[in-house]
Amino acid sequence: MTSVEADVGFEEDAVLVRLAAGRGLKGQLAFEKLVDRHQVWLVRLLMHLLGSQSDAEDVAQEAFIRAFLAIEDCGDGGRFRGWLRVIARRLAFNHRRDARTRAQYEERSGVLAPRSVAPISGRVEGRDLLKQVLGELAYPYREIMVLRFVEELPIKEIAGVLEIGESAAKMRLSRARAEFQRTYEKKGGSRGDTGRV
Amino acid sequence: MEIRDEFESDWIHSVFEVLREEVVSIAADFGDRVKGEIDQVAAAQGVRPPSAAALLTAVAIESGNITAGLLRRDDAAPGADDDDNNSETSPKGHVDAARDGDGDDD
Repeated sequence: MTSVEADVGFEEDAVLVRLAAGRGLKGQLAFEKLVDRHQVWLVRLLMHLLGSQSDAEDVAQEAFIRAFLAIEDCGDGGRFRGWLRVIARRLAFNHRRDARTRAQYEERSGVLAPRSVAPISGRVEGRDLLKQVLGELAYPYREIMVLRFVEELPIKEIAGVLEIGESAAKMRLSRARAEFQRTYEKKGGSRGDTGRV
Repeated sequence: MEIRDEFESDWIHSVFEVLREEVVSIAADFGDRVKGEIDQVAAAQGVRPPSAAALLTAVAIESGNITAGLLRRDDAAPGADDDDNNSETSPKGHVDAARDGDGDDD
């Protein structure tokens, strides 16, 4: 370990962000510590939003690079995670939109046959059921459900991530919950379930 | 409309527990890939001197070379004849001389 690496070894996010914003090799190593620290939850969040690990990793990588280039804008480094979440959420939204546009183009131009939904045989339970229901929700609903119930963010922070007002966030969450409940129960889930099989 | 901030007694929160506790395994080289990209971006964008990482690497390699050179010198003491790498391609002693002196100036 070099002395520079030792300097940025066990610091809080705020310190690492400050070091990273100072640029240079020390700043780069500090940012790499932030990558180590935040990569798992970020990929997990993006997996729930995008439904694919490879997509999640691609978007997470892009989010880290954007964050690195704009680290001076992070402000209070103690809120790095929230700031990174906003970047990742925007990128995930764009990624999904681009993928959908590409798929529509390919379907129209006959590159790919239209996707058909395979019939589900047997009863889906627990985590699989939950993921299936999440995947069927309209994207804005899926997004807010993940932020609320996986990330466990308060409404105020959700509003910040989604870049909407608090009352709009409450309204969207209420509708998302209703849609989730309807789909979940239609597929055989019940309020007594804990998602465990 | 009121949305409770307390999660207790919220059945949907209980249902999502399995996702909150899910262990996500990311690709083993994910972190290295990200750092590699950041390194390239940093060099391209000029947010750090492009040679800085290379400098560190060079220092590490050079330290290794010096150590290896010292060990080799011990092995190459008069009477030692196990210099596998160079014995077939160059006269013994020539490589060591280059490493000690001329090699640094190339």
